[in-house]
Amino acid sequence: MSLMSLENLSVRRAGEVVLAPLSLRLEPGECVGLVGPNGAGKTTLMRAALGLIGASGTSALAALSPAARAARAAWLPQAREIVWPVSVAHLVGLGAAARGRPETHPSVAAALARLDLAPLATRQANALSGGEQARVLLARALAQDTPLILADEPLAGLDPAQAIRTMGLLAALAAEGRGVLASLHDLSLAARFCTRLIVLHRGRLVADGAPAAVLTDALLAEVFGIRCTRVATPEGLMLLPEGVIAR
Amino acid sequence: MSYPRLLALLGALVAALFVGSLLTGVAAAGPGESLRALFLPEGPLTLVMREIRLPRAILGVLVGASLGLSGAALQGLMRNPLAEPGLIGVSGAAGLGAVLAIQTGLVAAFALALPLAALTGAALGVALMLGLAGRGGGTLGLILAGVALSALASAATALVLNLSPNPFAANEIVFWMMGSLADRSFAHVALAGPVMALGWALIARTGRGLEALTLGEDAAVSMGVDLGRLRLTVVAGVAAAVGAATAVAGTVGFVGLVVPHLLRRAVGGRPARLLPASALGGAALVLAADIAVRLVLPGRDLKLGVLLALVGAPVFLHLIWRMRGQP
Repeated sequence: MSLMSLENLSVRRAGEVVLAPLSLRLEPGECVGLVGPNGAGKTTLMRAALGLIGASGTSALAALSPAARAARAAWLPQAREIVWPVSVAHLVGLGAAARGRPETHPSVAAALARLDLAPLATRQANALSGGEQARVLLARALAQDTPLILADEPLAGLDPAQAIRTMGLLAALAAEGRGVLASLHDLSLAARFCTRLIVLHRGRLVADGAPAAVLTDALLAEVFGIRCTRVATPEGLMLLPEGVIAR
Repeated sequence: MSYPRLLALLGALVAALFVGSLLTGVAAAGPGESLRALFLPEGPLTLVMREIRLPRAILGVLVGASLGLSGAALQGLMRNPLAEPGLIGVSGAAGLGAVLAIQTGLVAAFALALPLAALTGAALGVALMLGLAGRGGGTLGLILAGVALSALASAATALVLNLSPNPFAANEIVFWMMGSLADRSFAHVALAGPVMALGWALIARTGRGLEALTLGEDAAVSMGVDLGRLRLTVVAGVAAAVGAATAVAGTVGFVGLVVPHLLRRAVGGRPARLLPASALGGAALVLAADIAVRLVLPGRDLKLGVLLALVGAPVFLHLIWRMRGQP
């Protein structure tokens, strides 16, 4: 059964189409990168799929009750908001609480361990560095222990090492049989770690497939307005943006 | 400090201040004698204890708990440590109801006319506000509607004062708005108690939702929180608790803002744990202030709200100064 299934999902805001009708499915084991320039509709697509904003068409997730949806999909918004001075352990425990589970549930300890947060467990979460907060919030989403994880720009503001580690974790989660949908701007990391890329451009789905097949020179020029050099490395395809194409 | 210990400590503090409140007053009687009189069948001191001091102490607990709890719930909902019960305009609306009752002479008509008018004002105010910023309104809409309602209520109150042909009524209005627990009876407890209890029961259901809001509204909704319902429950709960508190005690500011702030770190920042702690803390603060108004200027009827602001604001400033630099 598909973890996510959208049929003709579209979003209009103030009369303008921000997401043109699209249909797609996401299966267990897929690590899907959602790419496209700023304003392409990536966040809108994920929020509409989750039912966080109104949309036309159908999303199986949005049709669920709030509790059932919380059991199916975890959502990591881009805004890394931690309002109160809570401890790391409690904050990660909120993921379990979303499923009606206690903070002592094994999913919490597993999430803390997976992101190397055990040494920080008693620290005050909103006093940590930006990168540490990103890890804590990702652990919170993992602690929700859902078959599907949606992450909005999980690499924003991360240093290169942590960006690679984060992508490695998302890919590993998919390899374990979960589904991952993450909006990304780093095309090299997207190409290297994702099993599939979905490209949005001005609210339309313009490509969907294996990274190497999707990221053609023509698409990079048309959608992103850039020229890239391709470098084949042992780790996979690297894209080095060289310049902006005048349009 | 562990959470159960904190609650036990606050509970003991409230109990001690409750007894202290019972022992404070103009009647010259020793502590033992006073407390014994409470359980005697009759006598002048028994009358004082049962009809004057006991309802006053009980109202101190009820009003303080309502204000502390409401402040904690609103700060959690708004995700802002500056939120306070007055923000949603319910105390202003209750004040307007009371002012109209005083001005029109309705207060003289029957014993509980004043608190009933205040409660009616609070109910109409919150209905208006929810009409303006109902389920789909969002938190910002809620704040703005509350601010608008407060402004409207205070303008109407000022208008009544402005045009008041009766200086005594104007005087009474000003004093009522300063907030006090003096000369209250069990009739006040019976009127406000059930409404407050309803408010507490509503707010008690919001703990899980407020916890999830620590991560922002989007994340909270994805974690199974029905934000519209949470907002409605908090606003209705606060309106009932604070409306009833204002109806019997006038405008008592400061408690709902400061108490959750003071206790936040002690509960590890957790919004659900802050609710009971702030209820106890609010009760303790109001009881202590109500004891102080009787000790500082005996016989002069120093108003509760005046003392709370006068002593509380500098203490609060000191705490802010000490906490500077901490996130």
